[in-house]
Amino acid sequence: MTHRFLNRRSFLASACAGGLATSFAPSISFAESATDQRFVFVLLRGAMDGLHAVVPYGDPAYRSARGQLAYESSALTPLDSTFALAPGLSPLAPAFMDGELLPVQGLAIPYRTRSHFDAQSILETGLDKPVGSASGWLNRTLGVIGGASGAGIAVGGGLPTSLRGDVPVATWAPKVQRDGDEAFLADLSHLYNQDPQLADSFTAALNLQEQAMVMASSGGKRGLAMFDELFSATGRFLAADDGPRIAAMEFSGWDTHAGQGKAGGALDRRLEALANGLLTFKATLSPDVWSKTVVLVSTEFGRTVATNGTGGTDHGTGGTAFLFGGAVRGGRVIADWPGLASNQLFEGRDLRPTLDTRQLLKGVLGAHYDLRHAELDSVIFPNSGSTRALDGLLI
Amino acid sequence: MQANPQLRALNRFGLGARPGEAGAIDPRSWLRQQINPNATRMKGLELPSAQDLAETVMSSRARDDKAQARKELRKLGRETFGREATAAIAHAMTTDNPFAERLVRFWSNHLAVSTVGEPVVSLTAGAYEREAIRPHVFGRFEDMVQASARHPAMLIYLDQVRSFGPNARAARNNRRGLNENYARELLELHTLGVDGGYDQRDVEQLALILTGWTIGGYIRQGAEGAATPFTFVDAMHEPGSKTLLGRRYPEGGEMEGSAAISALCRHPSTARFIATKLVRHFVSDQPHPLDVDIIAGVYLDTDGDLAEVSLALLDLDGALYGPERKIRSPQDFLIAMGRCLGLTSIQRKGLAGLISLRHAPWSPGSPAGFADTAVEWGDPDGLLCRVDLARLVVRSSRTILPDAGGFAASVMEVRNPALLNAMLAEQSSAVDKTALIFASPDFQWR
Repeated sequence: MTHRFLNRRSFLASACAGGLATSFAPSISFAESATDQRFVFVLLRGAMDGLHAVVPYGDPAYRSARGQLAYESSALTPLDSTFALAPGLSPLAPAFMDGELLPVQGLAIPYRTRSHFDAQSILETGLDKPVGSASGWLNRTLGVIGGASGAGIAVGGGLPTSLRGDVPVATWAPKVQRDGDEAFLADLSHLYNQDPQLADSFTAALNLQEQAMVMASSGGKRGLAMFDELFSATGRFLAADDGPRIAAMEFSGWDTHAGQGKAGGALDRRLEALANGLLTFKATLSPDVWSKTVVLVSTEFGRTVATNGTGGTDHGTGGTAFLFGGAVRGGRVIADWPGLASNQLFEGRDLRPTLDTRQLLKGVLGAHYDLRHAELDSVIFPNSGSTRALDGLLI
Repeated sequence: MQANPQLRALNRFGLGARPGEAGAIDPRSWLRQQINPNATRMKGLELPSAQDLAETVMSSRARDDKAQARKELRKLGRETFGREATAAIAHAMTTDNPFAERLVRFWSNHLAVSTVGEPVVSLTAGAYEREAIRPHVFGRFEDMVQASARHPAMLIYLDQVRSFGPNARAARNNRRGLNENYARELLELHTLGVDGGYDQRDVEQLALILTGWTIGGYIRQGAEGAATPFTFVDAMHEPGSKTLLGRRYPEGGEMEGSAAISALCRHPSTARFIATKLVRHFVSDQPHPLDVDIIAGVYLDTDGDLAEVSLALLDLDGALYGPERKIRSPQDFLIAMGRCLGLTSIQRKGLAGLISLRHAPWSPGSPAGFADTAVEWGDPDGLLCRVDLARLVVRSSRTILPDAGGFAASVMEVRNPALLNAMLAEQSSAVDKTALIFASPDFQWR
């Protein structure tokens, strides 16, 4: 019996006092994680407008194709002759200069849909079509690298599909201090151990309880303040010696059908909160841990190139992702740029996709966890053998 | 474990057994008698109507001090949301028609609006459920969708309110134009379902059909100025004929949209989509295709009569018998505790507990509404939040249980009575005994 949390907290003693012979669930511990590498998957639910984040200001058609949402050049931070960071993302410009930020443009899942829910399902399951019940590629990655239960954690929004699967994982969200009655939880754990569907989940909760109680939480910030709070929490979880190694985070509010705005507008302020959250995350990690860290920020698809009738954008196709971290070989933009002229667009309205999202995911995970082709091609991303991983993403 | 059909009726189809209730009902007749339009009414409330709110929003928009007006509207939105949410939970805790109320909550979530980041939806979400959903829960599905499409909560939430036909009179000479948000979700989430057989062209055509559907006074241009929950503004409407799912809709103003919604609601894909969601909600996280066939068949045979559809659910094999279990949603968990204890209202902290559990009323993260499965609601942090909420509710109620084991067996199906009784014996206070029952795994299922 090596149930760390329960041992440490004398749960066994209190349980034995009840004179019961029931055993606990299999042992679970953060400390047995098979890896020291940190990985965070940040999902921006609702489809972030990538053309409004990594702005193709150097494309000759940018201004005419985008219409009223085209940024003024003076508001942008150029990254190269084609792309620039949106004003809200300018806090990340030093990270780009330091080679720790790698934007990727023209990315899409391997299935054409403008449904948020189908697209998120595909992005999170890592499959090539929507399958509601499938497990997630992050959970399958945990399985492949031998991550113990508790090596994975979802921060802020329940258990996302990407982390669902056979390996038990923790979830955490900010809240006011728990009352933390250990004997009561120990008695409950006896009952949960008898429940085939909830036993693992309750055990994972108890394991995390110890760390979560240590972590001072201001109790659930709202709106844009959420970014800083959740990134700070994720950083502190991953920084711990016996903490989780893979985290999933998510933020909604990117479905900008109306009033998207330009510099200082609604979307730009959200991008700024994201940028500052990423910097907060970095600040919580030691230089050593940071050097082993990769954050992937992704979204289900891009949005229409043209401004719609209500100062926003509708659901599109080609989209944008970022890699951020000490292990990232950044300072450049990855794009096989298709162009924004009307004859270059997908179905006459969207950025044409030139990269399969799985190429990026496979390239990151393969390099970060030193995975074999067979693991990437058939276990983590089933039937993806013909989709080649991007090389050279990490140091 | 042997299913107890009385507890199944009260828990799976209702909002939680009250102590003593299970012994007193015949499950099927108890459920059937609730299939009655009167059972969905909410009484004795002085909550704002959509008309009240339309006037509030329009007068706010007419003010010159825009920033101050927006601030006050947000404040009013928070206050109204708090009153509405508290009233809705209290109603669910006290109603004698909990099956009808479950269906209200199901349909309200099927045609979901969300208050997240939307002050105007915070103002109108409660009114939306009362006005667009409740009257139609045992009526025709089409009438519910027609009412939803014309309610200010939905018009605002999915941006329909300011979608202009590109060639409409009011769109010329300015930058106003089409917004396809509502049209897409009407097809994908409200009627046909994502695989229901439509494409991007259909989305755009439906968006054109619906141009002009807005809130009275929202788009300021002369004669259409009066504040009303819904109006059709012809100057916003795209002229000419449109084609949706292969059917041509000649220019017909508002009637184009009415006819399109009617056709969508009669579509076999809609029947299957709705049947799948109903079976998932009441019977199994993995709906059995035969169950879906049965419910879809009743839907099509009765032209979407939701009383008949509700009745058919009760006769499915897995409804009152069978091994499948459904997890209680966080709101239903809170409501079930309230019904067990005879509570008539919730405290502010109870609502805060629902926010921690990501299940505040009318606040899903997307127009798909809240999910409905154990994998969604049984996450580790969520289980601990339920423990906290159980202790909070019990502590505030000061209930004393003379016979905790008997109480437990009267309100839930107990998997291992000996173990539960042993753990109850460990608890030194009545509060902890009751909280242990509510926080136990058996109470999370129905």
